[in-house]
Amino acid sequence: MSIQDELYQLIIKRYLMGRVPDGFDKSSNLIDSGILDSFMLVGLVSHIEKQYGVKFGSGDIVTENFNSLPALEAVIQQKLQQKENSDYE
Amino acid sequence: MNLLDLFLATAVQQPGHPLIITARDEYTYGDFKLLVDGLIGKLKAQGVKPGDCIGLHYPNSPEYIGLVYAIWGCGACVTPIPVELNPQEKRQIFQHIAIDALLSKTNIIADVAAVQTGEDIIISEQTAFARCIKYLEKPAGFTRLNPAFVRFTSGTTGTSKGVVLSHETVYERIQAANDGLHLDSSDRIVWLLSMAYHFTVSIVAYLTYGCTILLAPNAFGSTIIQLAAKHKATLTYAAPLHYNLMAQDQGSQALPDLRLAIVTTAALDPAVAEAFYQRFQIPLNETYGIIEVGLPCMNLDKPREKRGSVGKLLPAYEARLHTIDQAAGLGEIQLRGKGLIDAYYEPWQERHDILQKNGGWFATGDLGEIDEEAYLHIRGRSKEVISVGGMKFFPQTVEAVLESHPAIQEACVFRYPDERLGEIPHAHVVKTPGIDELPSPKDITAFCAEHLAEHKIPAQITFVDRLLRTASGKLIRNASQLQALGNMNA
Repeated sequence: MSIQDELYQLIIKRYLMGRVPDGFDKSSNLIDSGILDSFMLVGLVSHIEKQYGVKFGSGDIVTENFNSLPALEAVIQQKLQQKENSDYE
Repeated sequence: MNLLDLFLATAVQQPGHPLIITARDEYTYGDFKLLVDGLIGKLKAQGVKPGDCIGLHYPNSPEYIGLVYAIWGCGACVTPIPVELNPQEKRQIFQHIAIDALLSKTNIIADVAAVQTGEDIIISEQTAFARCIKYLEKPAGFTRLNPAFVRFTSGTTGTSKGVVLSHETVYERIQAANDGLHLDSSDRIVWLLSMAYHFTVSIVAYLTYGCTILLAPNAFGSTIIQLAAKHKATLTYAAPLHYNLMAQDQGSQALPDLRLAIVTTAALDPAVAEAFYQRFQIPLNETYGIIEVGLPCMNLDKPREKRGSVGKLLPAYEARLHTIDQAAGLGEIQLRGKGLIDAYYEPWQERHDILQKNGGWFATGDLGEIDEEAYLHIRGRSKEVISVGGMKFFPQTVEAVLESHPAIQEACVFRYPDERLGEIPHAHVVKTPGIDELPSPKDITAFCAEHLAEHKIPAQITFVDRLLRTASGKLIRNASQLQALGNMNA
């Protein structure tokens, strides 16, 4: 399962109680749609760090990184790549 | 008395004044009075009556506030069911608090379906009412207290200790807090915390004193700053996480109208306080809030000079230190004053009995010292509560889940400092004898996810040979102590 798929399933199951709002899909804007509220942000960061073994600094918790699942996947992939590079050094 | 009457009196005085502003709606005090009146009629039509206890399963919204006041308008009391909890955790609340009926936002009611009896009834566009399974009877003496809230908390011993707060107690608390806050109708307050956990010395105070609530749609720094700037916010009420995210903002938007930036839910990292000050030239006001007491301390007059202190006691309170380390001037903080807890729900224990154990003082379990200028400094919390980005829980609830895993004999969950979220949970676990193959931390995380809200799942799970305990057998949950004793890799 891709990162986007995994996070999409998580949001549907844990935060939307299995109900997909009209028009919501993997490319939806999580912030403008109001889906990503204050409490989901804490849960989502906690989940991503455990699931993917990456760490978000305070400077990473910004709207540009969280406004959609593709944006989140990109930042996670970037962190995984950085981690892999540092493991080789 | 009824807290609804305080709001109604304010609404009559300033019907056109904005009460709450969200990204989508704006309600004046007059609008809100109509909303509450309508809800009271609908709840009474469903048979809600004085003495009932209603579970409120609703996200932060104007409707949440309206429903609380409508429940009070029926003479009933409120038990918040935090929406971010796992369905099993929600059911646990109903198993420990005698709840007569629940009100839920319609799109999330499936989460509490296990406790419903009969069909849900739609009472407004997005609100459903349902009767619930009664797992237990209300304690004798409950109704006599004129309860406004029963808040479910897991006690330090692992047994439920729901906290009962009466209308009179909440009123005393907000009056006491306003001796320091001086809230009035010119105040506009940015709201970021869960209304399920924070309502008494905040939302009730704002509606009583005629303030405007600015409901933040999310917790990103840029969102909070834009909201505060647009509406000329005078006060923020938030967790260290929120101030940290605001401090990281790369823009230049100033917040010239902000007179108080209240920090609650967890200790503030001095680095966050300094970064916030450098970004906005505004000091953060640290506070000391306890569910059993209210908000007895706020650092309002010397937030920069006395950084790290939760301030002086407000006039309505007295403190003493029950000495633990005389040389260090350190002791357990004990408090007395206005608006102390009315009762613990289970086992039922009323205020007089709770306080009698300590000669009329409430023993907080927290360690502190009071400096020569009477400023209180918190030096340690013996209550072991963990606050992840402002969302609090007791480690025992997580340990119980871990210990239900067949490969885990016993577990110790403890808070670990975290630069962004303030604290995160870590766990040490001991394997069940006879188990050859250990589950991976990922397997255990997946197991926890079936039973716990995401923020409660330990960020690190380590198998250890044994858990560390004090001489009397109590688990040691202090991260630095565990590190010093060589029981931690981190």
